[in-house]
Amino acid sequence: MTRAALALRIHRFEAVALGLLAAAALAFSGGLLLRLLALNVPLSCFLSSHSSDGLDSGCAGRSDYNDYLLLAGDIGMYAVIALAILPFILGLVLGVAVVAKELERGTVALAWSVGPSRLRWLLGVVVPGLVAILGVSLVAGVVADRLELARDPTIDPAVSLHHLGLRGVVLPAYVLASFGIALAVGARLGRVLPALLLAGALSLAGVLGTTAIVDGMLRTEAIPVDESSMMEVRAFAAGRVFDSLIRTPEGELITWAEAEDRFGTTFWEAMDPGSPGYDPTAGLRSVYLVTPGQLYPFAEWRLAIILGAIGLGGIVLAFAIVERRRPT
Amino acid sequence: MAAIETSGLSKRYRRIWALSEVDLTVHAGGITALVGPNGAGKSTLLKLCVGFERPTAGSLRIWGIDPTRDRAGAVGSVGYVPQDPSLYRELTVEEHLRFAASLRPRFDAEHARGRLRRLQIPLSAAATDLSGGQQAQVALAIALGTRAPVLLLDEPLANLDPLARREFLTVLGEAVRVDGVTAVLASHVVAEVEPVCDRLLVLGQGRVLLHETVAEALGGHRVAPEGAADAPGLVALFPDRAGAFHALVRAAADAPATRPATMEEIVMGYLAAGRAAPTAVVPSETATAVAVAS
Repeated sequence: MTRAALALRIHRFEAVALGLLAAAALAFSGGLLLRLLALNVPLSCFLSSHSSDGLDSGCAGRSDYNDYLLLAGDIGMYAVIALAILPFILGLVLGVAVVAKELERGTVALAWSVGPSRLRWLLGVVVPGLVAILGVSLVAGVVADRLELARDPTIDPAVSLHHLGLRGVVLPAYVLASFGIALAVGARLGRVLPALLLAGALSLAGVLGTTAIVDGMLRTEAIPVDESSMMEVRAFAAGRVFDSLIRTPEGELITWAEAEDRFGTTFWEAMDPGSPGYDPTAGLRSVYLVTPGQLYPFAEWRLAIILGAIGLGGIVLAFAIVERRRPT
Repeated sequence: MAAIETSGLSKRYRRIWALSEVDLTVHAGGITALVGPNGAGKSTLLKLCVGFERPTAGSLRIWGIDPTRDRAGAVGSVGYVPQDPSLYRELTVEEHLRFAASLRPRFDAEHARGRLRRLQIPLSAAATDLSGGQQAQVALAIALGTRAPVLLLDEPLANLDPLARREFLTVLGEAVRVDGVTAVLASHVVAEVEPVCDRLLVLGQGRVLLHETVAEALGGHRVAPEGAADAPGLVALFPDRAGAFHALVRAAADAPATRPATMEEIVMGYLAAGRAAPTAVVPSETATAVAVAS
């Protein structure tokens, strides 16, 4: 029996519980994905729903199209959330169990007195556990990506910033981050419940903080795009919109408030073809500050690398704590 | 060769000194009974030896290795049995041996298996299905399977019934004879460890009160039943179970008005002497070192 199998035996409660949870989340999301694909709604229906002419009349009456929208909408969002939460739970529960459970039960006294190397002991649990949950979260990331495409077949998720952080390679990075934090907190506190609560709070703060930092980076990468181009160029439609601005005839970008100060409170009528005050010669144009969807792979990996670094930092810290701490 | 060697070894937990300037040499071979009341520093001394604690001051060598500088080397030189066997409830006995083998490169699982078979402890049984005595035997078998030259046993008898204690000590005594290891057995039940021990080490209030071979201790101490406080060679006055005080004296076998002392009386006498002595205080050099470190 290998060390990995023994580690699985020692943590079998967590392994079974997390296995069932992962199976449920993947079955729910995977089942929904298969159901959406089985409905086989033509792409034209989705494309027409985005066009200015409105939904194709052939699609409007189709019951499968309505079923599709229902499943892909609310229920699809539940599936996306389930897939995004799963890595957190996997990382937290396993990360706390690896050291804190053993410290709480006192079994480290046996392990640390028999094994000359605590590093070897910790690696024996961390490596197989991490490989398992990374594998599961990788599958979850792929399913979430496929689900993203299925929920809106008109946008390629590989070039869409929609639901950045809820799919793809970011999910394994969540696992790494929450696992590393839980491992370090568990090693320091040596008690399961307090470690679970503190690591949960720290993981949440870490992810929210990282997301905010990455959003800030994306904002600096945003470019102004004319409103008219937004729907014509799908890459912009799949981008992240940060602001709505006004481009002056001189090409300056100003806020709506600044435009009101300069051109009066009804300045927007000059830009609206349906308005009596429409004036195409005024030179004012509505623009959006958009980060193009093409940046998605870069943004995705950047987020994943930051989260992964947090996780690896936590793992290194946990090793340092284990190396120095008492077995009680 | 010295199995354990300490010099000025001190350990402080917050404001309490668990060990205070302990100078000690435990020579290789045989079983040393490490006795003393709760809080005497027995567990602390063993935990320092196995690298579970770091000394506040002083030095320690286990089988020639300083655990604070080379913990892996020190752990590799000892087999440790904690008071609570600390077995994994999810693993069988056999899986414990495999677990130990996975952590310790030269772990002799067959040696441990053989001992457990002789005790008729089923290898396929879950650790939680074993009695307290059997769990202690599994912990001892694992410690012996390490083939380490030094065995440290931290009150393994504390939670065992009398029969299990006797079986445990029999196995330990046999292992020490056959394998030629050095064992340090912490206990506060003096009478039970006496038959298997070669040396006696009495700790009290963090200090070494007595360290001799059992033969030297029994041959060199007598009891003056009248409890004369001015008896020559007086170690201390100590109470018997009825509350009457007797004098433990260092004296030859022909000392008048005395009778041979039992091991328990010797320990009682030295513990009483330890209590009568000033409480362990921070040695001036140690205090300076601690102040500088902090």
